[in-house]
Amino acid sequence: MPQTLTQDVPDAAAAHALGEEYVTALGKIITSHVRNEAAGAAVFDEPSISLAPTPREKWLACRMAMEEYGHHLKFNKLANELGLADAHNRAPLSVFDYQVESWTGYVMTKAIVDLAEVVLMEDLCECSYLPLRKLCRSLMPEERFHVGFGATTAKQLAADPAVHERLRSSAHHLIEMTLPFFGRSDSRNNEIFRRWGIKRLTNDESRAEFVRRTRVLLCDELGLDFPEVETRWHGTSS
Amino acid sequence: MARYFELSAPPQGLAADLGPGGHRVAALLHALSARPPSGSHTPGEVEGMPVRQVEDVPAALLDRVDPGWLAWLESRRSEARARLVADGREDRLELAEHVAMLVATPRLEPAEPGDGDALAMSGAILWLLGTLVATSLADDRDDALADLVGHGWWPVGPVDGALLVAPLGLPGRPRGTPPISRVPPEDSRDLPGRSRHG
Repeated sequence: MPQTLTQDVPDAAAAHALGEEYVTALGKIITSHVRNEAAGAAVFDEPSISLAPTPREKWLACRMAMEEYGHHLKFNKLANELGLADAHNRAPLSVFDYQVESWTGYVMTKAIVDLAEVVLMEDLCECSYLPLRKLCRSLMPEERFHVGFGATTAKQLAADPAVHERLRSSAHHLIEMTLPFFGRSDSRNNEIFRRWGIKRLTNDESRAEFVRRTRVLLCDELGLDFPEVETRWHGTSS
Repeated sequence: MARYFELSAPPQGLAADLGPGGHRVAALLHALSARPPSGSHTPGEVEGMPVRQVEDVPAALLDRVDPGWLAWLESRRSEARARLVADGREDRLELAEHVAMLVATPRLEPAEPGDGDALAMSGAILWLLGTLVATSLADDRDDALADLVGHGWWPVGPVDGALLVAPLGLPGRPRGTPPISRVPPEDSRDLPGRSRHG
């Protein structure tokens, strides 16, 4: 791979000055977040407000829904500044096909799907494009709170043997559904992202970090087994 | 529909854009963005309940709010939203909720990121605002809860037969900060809940 871009890119004009490939690569990252933050709020968070067992948990779910929607708007603002095409023209990632049908299911989306988002965002916290770097750094406290809420609440739920199997089933299903979130192992896009200093990690490195952290959560903190998964992913055949 | 990414106050012309009830939504959000000082006005009674001011709403208190009242609010919200959709005003509802979220979320930001209690309070207020936005648009009539918000109060809900109200800016107050005293110490025997009228 050719040498990585080492300079900071301060704004949209400087990004355009670097050429189409840089702006296109940034656009793929930013518009993906525009779509997926909105999808997370609409598919996971908002419907779960009514599933919460206590008022406090209901209000926390409400706050997190608003934060996810706020993240969507902040990425949308970045997309707008860069003059990117409408991010809603493509479907959100397949993990958002997961149907949240219980409070346990919702809690696990926060502990697992939001953890995947944290892993990706941590990488972007060193991105060469300063507006994206700053945005991701500013959002990390909220994203980490979401994951912490999911993990802490999951531990409380895990103490109840009646919930154990539901917790395990949700966790395994979500981990398997989230692995493609990181992209293909042989991704040409990822190579371009790294060459331009937008990302540092390969898709497989990010996926492996996600697997490492979810294994700690399941095995060490929740007393669950871990599903047999590959840290490589070559895409679907369809 | 206008595209907004950040707002510190409702945009010019919002009331007209929203149609019937729009002036009520705009007034609610102007009151919220103007950061009114709490304590200027509370009615003696709301919906037949005495009003009781509290200076803090810890999780244990939040969990004691009458679930029947929450269900009543939830049904008001659902009915109002359904009527707006049936009337072909879904885009107006979406605009009102979008603007409300943009105006309210920074206003209700916890002082400390990760403060679960403050985030829960903030979520409760955001949920209530979402309800009031929908009912204001659908009903276009005076509402005692919206009036409290307009005067800087958060109607927390009924606890032990009284409607608790707290300062709207409570989620943003640094935790551990002494509450702002508005009554002499000898009257503060019931803190954090303190009856004003009951």
